[in-house]
Amino acid sequence: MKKRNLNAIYHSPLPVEVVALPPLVPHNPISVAYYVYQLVFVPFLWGFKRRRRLTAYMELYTDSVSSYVSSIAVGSYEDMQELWKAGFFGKGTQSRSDPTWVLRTSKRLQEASGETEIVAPEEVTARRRAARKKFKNARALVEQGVVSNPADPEKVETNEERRGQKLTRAEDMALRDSEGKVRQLEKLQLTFQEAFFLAYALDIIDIYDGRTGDLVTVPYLLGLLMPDWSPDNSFIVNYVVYHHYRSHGWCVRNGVKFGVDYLLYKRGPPFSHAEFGVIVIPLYSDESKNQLMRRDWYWSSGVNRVVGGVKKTMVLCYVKVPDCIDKWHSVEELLKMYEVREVVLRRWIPSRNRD
Amino acid sequence: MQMVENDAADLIPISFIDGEYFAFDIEAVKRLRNDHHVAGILVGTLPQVPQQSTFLGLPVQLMPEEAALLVQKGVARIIDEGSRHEAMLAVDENDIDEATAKLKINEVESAGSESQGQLVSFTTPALSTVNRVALPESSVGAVYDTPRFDVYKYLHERGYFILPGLRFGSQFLAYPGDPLRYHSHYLVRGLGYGEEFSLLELVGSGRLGTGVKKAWMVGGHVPEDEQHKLATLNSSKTIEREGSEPIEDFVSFCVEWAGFG
Repeated sequence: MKKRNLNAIYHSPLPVEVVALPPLVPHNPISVAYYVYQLVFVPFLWGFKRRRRLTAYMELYTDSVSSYVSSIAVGSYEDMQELWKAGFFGKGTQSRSDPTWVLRTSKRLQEASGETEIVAPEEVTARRRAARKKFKNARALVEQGVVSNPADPEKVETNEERRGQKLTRAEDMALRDSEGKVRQLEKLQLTFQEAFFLAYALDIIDIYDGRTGDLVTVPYLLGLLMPDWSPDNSFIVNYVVYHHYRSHGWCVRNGVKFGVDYLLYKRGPPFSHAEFGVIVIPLYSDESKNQLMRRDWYWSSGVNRVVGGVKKTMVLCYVKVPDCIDKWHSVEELLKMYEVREVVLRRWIPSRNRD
Repeated sequence: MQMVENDAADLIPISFIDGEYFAFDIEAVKRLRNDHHVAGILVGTLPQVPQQSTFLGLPVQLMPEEAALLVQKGVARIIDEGSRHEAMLAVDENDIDEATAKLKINEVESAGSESQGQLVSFTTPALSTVNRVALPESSVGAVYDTPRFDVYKYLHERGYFILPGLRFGSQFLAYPGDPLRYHSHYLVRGLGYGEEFSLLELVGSGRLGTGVKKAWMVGGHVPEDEQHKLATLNSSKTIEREGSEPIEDFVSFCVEWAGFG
């Protein structure tokens, strides 16, 4: 298995192109000319072959009161790959995180020719689990006193291996399109905060209503995501935190599998494990409300233990919620009303933390 | 609530000091552990090895739920050490013998007349002139009818040893037998009926429990008008134990992660 060049595949931290202006030396005409060229003509040239905008589709559900967003997903294969490779947005609906369903299904149906060298994370996990199971079976045999030659592994065949020997099933016919290749049936599902970030902050995505096909503008999207315009609406509070960390260069992903709100990666999941687990706590100016909503020591201890057990640091992110959010004319003004402050909570054990 | 009528001197003394419950007497600790499967936590310094905190000695600290359940069952009595200490100081030296005798009589009297959940207190001849009631701010009565107490009582009736669960971020840890012999099976969280808890807590506690080979248990008391729904859930029979009511109005669930590793 050829080791992938991660730096080549995941070379940009966000799906935007950045032009670095050269240093300007005023008395040197060549430097001035080059600077003006980079400043004016390069974006102008790009304007012709403008970067393709990505598309996503929004599903809504309505009750008697109003419409609510139920999901925002990207369907096209190129858009999915671009969003994942530049910034690790979203989660594949048929995969663990990286949208690899087409790749894995092609491999399973023994179709892909040149792509067998790319190993999906799910396959890495499956191999690790199969190896662990083999080891446990062998250990159980040894413990029972069965005198078996440990260098004879053929007896212990796992279920996965038995299953893998079958090729295509009848249901797999429906997966192929007219040319015989696997259809793109997977979507990349974006969280609401990611979708709003891509639409508002980066402005590279067009979101369409799944029923009507109309383009959803940013203010309308905000209205759908925050149907009650209360200052402590969970979408806007979480979005403020998401925007804050993204703008500082962190890769921010959902942290539900560790019981936290967000995970912060330095570069992204393929490079290293997350360093921080962020929990968002709204802070009101009314102190009695803060007392009402406060968490107890048991909660803090539990989360700290889970997060510490996976070698991350727990960050409590306090978001100061304004009293009312009626007076704003742009999303930027709305975001400016919120303040973010972090506190790191780490457990120090004198017997263990000596180094 | 039936209460076993014990001789007052037979009741296990639990000292109430500054909001916390302790058992100082070694015989009391033995009775608690062997007869009533209440383990408690040792919090005292061992005189032989004072400069460490791994091995601790008497007294044993009890949780408010443990003290409350023992009082409810009529096997223990709470002694308010603060008032008792002041009462002993106020006794005139010449009257010590007389006062001590009166103290003992008062103890027996007031222990016999206690009602459920009331703190047992006593007055001395010297204190009776002072207008003061020897009740601390948070007596045992405040513990009853809380979700924590309901789940504690539910598990205690089924023979579990229950210790505080702060280490694992839960309210209690439930051991199937003596903690010195077994690992705990459950991280326990008591909830009120209809009380909401977040999905993040469910995921995090389930993950924590599965990582340490335990299950996360949530349970709560079901009010009477909703108990008809329990018939489909609680298929197992309740356990009858002498001297206490079986709880038939409690429902509990366990959460574990699947597909780990």
